Amino acid sequence: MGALPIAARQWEGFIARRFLLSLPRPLLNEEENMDALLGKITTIARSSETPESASGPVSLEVKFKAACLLPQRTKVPEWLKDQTLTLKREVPDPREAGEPGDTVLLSPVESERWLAPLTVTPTAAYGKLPDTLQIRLRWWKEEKLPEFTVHSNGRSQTGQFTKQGEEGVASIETAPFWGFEPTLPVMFEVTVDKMKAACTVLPEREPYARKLLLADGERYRMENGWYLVEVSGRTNGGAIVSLQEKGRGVDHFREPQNLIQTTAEHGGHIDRLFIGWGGGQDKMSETAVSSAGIRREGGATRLQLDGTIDEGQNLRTSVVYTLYDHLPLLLLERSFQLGKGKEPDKDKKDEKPKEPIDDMRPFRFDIRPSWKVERQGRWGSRILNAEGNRLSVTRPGQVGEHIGSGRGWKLTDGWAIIEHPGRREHTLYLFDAQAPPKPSTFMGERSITFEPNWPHVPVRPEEAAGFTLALTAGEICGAGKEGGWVASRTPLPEGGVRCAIIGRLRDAVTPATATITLGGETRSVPLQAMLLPGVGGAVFATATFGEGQMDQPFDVNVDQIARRQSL
Amino acid sequence: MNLFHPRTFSTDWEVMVIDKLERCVEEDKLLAFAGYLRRALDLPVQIDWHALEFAMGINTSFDQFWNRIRNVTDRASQIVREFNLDLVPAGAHPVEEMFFASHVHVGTIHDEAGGIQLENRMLKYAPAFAALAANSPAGQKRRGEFKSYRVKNQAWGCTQAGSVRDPRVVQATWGSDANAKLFGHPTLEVRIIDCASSRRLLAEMATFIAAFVHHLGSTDGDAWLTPEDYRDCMTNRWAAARYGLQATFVWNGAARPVAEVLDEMLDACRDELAALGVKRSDLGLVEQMLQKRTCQADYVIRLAERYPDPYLLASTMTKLMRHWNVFDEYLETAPTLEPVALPDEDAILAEHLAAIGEDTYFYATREAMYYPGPAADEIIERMVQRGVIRREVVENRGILLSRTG
Repeated sequence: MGALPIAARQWEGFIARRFLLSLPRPLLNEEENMDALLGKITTIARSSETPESASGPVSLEVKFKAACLLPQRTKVPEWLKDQTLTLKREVPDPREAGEPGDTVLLSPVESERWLAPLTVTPTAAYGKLPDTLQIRLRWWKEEKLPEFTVHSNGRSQTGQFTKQGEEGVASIETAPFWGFEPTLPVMFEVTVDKMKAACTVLPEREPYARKLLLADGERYRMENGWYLVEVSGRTNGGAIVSLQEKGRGVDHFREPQNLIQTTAEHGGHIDRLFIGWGGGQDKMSETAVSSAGIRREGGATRLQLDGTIDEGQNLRTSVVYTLYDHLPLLLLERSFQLGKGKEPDKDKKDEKPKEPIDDMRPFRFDIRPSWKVERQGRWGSRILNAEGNRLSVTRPGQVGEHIGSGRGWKLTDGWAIIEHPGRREHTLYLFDAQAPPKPSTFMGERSITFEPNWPHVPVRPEEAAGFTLALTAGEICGAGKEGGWVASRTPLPEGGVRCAIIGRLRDAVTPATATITLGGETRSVPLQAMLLPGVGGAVFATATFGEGQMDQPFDVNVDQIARRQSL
Repeated sequence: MNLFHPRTFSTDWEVMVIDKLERCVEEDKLLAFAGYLRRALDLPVQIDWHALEFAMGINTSFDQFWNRIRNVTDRASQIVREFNLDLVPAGAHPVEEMFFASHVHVGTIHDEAGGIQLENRMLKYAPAFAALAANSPAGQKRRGEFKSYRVKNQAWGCTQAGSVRDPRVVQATWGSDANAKLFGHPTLEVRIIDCASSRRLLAEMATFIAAFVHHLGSTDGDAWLTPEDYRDCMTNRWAAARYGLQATFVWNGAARPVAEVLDEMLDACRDELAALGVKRSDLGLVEQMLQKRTCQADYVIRLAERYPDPYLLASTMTKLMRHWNVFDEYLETAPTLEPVALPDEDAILAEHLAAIGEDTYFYATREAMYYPGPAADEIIERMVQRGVIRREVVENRGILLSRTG
């Protein structure tokens, strides 16, 4: 046992473990806050109700200063800077809580009153102005509560909170801000010092996209008759954090509550960029984007977000989400643009010679949507896709299992359905059938991902790379080697229910007919072809049941593509 | 016969270093602390994945080893605290992907062929040490199914179920549960040991392991296992990872709680313990653990019940484990746990079935309990015959298995 350094073979193991880090990681995801406040303890003491001599759990009063937010260790909100906060903890062993100088980590629920102290109810309203806004201040730095100001329509009103326990509450009427019925959307913004909250009043029956200020930060919301889609611009170059089916009120991307998690970790959709083995993804995951345009055109609502991944490398990203008015269909176009790097100083004489390879960047990208996993042994969340002349049904058997294209798994026709049979929640992803990505999935304790990736491409300065995909989510699906489809339904404002089917079929099984049953009424509707830019061919059908109700039994069949059985 | 001369032992103890933003410190910075400690203590302190690896040099007695553990960790704590850091000894981090070990090196051995034969004999005993050391029940945001996810997951290739090897036809290899490591050191390295959270337990456990290996090295034994013997070793390895000291082993053809097996092993190496300057009764923590069938993982599991969020659990573990003795204290009042029955053939089949989803590549069943091919294939065959799985051979993807019932 000499003092030798790590032996050669140990390094092999060491390198193998480092390689694991470059594999698609399970990162190490309802609208609640997912961030948690991490503070540094300034003082810690037994609370007065727990005498020193008492046995059993100890009640402690912990005073701390906010240091950062987990999991990303981002900076704390401005209103918490230099503030000493107080928390009570009950622990069997006081060492669990730590000592002055140590960290104290709060749960997301514990953190809420400090991370989002100012709230307005409602945060969003539809069709008409709410009569009143309820304003709540869950924490304030001083005993005396501050004034609040409400702005809307160029008018401001200042008011005082009433003390209710440790909180401040107030109610304000909306009518004085508006002397007429406004064209929607409109917003009421409430400010207290550096804190902001808002209520946005949205049009009831019109598709729109809008930046909203919600309890957990800014979000872009897009809505049509079928879906309510929310995109966070804070991280990942834009992340879909909610996709709600309005008909059933189901959020396909809901996240576990009161759990510290990264954006879309356990529910949501992110896009990722890897340069070379894996560099770049850390920066992409931290990339914030802002609106480069929201517009309505051609029967669709379009939201574009742009951001800079790496200023030094002049690496930027943009994403365009297009939500069609009349179909449950979202199109996503992602691009990564490599600009020209900074020119060297002309008088720098010792500049080394360069070759084209020096400026080339190997880009690989993927998507990582994730859903709450169903895991019941004999059945559970699974991925369906055509693979050559068979229907591939892929379901990891064990928590922690990653299945990738290294096992020869292929998306032959560029479609995949992520099926959750127990919940009747299914999502169809459509990609370019000519050059589909390579499929991959990971099952964690709480979630399952679908991580198709596009292999590396060489990118030169002033070039861009990226991908386009379309997705639809619904309650019934069908899949076979010849194609896959997902069906959904939504109530109509004038009464009745509209149903839609979207899928991709091989030529051999087209034209095809969808048979849709709602309650006792059955319709046969031919599937129509459509061309989605960047994605290619797809089929769709819609049917309106004028007397239909959402609580009636719903069934769909498509000719030769077997309907999947739900539980 | 005595394979080990002189009788020495040591450990490479992998301990996390965590800052006040609760980040694991990266290896490049750990190099500075390792270098400092090497200079200050003249010990081969190294680094590993997010860990300082306290290599404790060559030891010939329990007292020397125990003093060295305290000196090294006290000195290391002092230097890292200058940078507001804590040393955190744990088998796994609840959020991150790393596993940590306390490898035990047993020396001094110069007979490689003898070492490889001893390696073969250790296939039977290594799982017992894994049960005693189990301390990774929460890692990579997973928890609860295994008391040692590290052993279950083979520490990402760094402690693999060993093979029966014929010294006449082998090359040097690395990374199995117990490994004659003459290519690097004149030792047999027992790698299956999860990182100890307790300094005292590490001292006791490493001394016990060393004495037992010394004992094996001074006795004749059959170094060649039958396929049935090997399968039993793998069943025991799985049971140790899953149940820790509550496991029941297949032992000489009968079911036997692992705590009894370890008790017997302690008795067997009484002379070798004495040669290292210690009596069985001095190993108080080990004795108490066997009586209560309680391992360090049981302490972490209790904590994890109160901290369902992996980040909150990690934060709490950081503050507790740095004291080096929280497990020792817990053991004083811990309840006595009952043994869990030996897995019967149905339970073994169920464990293999649990590895299968749909379109699962057949090799996943190999990883269920690390049975070798013929034994694992026989279980696949039984599952097909019972109609609980469907087997399909797909061009480019090989043999795929899917649950049907």
